[in-house]
Amino acid sequence: MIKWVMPSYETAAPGEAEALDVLSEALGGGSSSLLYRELVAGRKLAVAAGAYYNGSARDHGSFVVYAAPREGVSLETLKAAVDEVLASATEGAIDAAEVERARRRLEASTIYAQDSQATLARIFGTALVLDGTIEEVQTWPERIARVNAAAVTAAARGLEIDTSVTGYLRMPADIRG
Amino acid sequence: MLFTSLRVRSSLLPALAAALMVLVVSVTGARATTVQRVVSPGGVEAWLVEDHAVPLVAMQFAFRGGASADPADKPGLANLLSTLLDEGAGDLDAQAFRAKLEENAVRLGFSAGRDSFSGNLGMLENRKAEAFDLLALALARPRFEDEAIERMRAAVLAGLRSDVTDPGTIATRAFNEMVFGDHPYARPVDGTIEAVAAISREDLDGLRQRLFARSNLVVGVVGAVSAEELKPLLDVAFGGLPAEASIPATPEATPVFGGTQAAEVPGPQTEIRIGTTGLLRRDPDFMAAYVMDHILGGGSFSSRLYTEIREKRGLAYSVWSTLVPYDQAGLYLAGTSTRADQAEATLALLTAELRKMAEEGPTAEELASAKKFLTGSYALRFDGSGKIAAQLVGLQLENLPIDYFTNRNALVEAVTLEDVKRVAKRLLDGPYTVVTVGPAAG
Repeated sequence: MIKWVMPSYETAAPGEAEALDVLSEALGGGSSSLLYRELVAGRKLAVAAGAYYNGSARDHGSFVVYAAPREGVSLETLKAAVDEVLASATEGAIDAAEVERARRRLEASTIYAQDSQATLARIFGTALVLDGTIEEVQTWPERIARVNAAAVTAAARGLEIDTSVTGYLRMPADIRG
Repeated sequence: MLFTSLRVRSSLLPALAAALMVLVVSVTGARATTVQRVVSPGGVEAWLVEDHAVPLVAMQFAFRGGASADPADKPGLANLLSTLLDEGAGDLDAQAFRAKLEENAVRLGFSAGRDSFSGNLGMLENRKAEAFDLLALALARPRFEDEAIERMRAAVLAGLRSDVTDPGTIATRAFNEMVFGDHPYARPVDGTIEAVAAISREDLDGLRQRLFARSNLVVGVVGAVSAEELKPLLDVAFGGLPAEASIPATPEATPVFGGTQAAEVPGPQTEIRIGTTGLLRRDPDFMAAYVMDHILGGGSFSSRLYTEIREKRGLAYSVWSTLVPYDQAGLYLAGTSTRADQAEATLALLTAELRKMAEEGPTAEELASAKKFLTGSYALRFDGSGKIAAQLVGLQLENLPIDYFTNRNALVEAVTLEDVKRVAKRLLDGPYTVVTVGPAAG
């Protein structure tokens, strides 16, 4: 698991947090995402891989990329492959079509969210407790719709490896060995 | 009461939905709140609540005969089947199938229960055709590729291996074997390590062909779809299935109660299960039993069991009771887990509370308070279309009437103190089957 401290919706420049949301979806939201396609389906190095962005915070937010290796694949090999995917994202691997697909998935999830009163309450409650406004919640889909590929690539460039923290969870035998 | 129930969801959602989304949700006065019976040209029946508050459709469906249709030497077959239907179908391999689901924001899932095999399908209003096509493929042409079978088998086996040391699972299995003997209900839904290890591709596809049919299918649909739109979609998903299922009817079970079993598992706590006669869902006393159970230990922090065992004495974090109405047998169960050296005292208290309820029944105050809670909280079961669709399926599986939502609270209100006393005596008079799982005594 690799984690970065990134701006939140509170601390980000206009459009920056929205781009991180789209980046996390395109990079690691489910089995259509870049990480899943490359590492789980394509190179078959991982049994799971994804990313998420937490932009709901009073201070900094965080961005996480994770992957779990297939049996017989070392964590070092997997980490190197994750780094390659991240590098490709800084060079435009997430193009306009990828951004459009990610945006549509985010839009669908906001529609599904409306089917649950508890989820809606949490969305508005989270926004309000962070000094956000109802209007900010209302206009979030519009702002997500304005995120373009250049903004997502710029956001990916913010994921510099020397500003991240990486954690490995190993079997005890692996440590002893 | 459905009107009240659905109004909770329908009146709140449009306001918030319109607020949340740029999409314009049109609210045209009073919304239909009744359950419609829809029959497709191909003869597939569904119960439908049409509701356009959110541009979504949720469908739940079930085939009667779940794990109880597993062959005697292959417990866990239906459960393994439920993990493999979305792992590629038709021309789509697992990855392509999942990508299609995601591209279209279709949510699809399956699960095997004891008496039925169920599935759910969620979709945006403008992706109905795609969603029903994918479901049709999953039901009729799953690929069952070796890689997927081995991956899901490994996952199920990992769960079964960890169950070997799980006190709760050990207690459940021991209890079912004691009470049901040779009946299919004695066998675990997720199977045994030996049986799951031996399941073949032919076993899986064989069960699929025997179990998925129109004769044993029930369907519930909620959301932005009209009856006329739904009919052809039902035929897309289910019209190609065989007319008749060919699974053996589950034999009537005659659970035998009484006796005690203690299993030794190292650990700080002892798991306690106690069980006795319950009721079939169709029993005229079922609602009275449901109210009785709520008072005894069914669902609140003020039940008798909670008060005596947790609040007054601090013996357990949680203590529960429940009616278990299987198709062919009714059980009444109660349980808790506590520090091993308190297990004996806790079991004695639990038993005493069951006996006291059998002998005295509840007070008039307890009955009034239970009715108030049960009727008042009923609306909370309707705060999502998936939840409502699941209930529509539940009503059909239990052969309850199509207007049940409307009348349910009146059925609760009609329960009298005499009813509850009678049913408490009928259920809780014993004998009790007791299972404890925990560290060796001393």
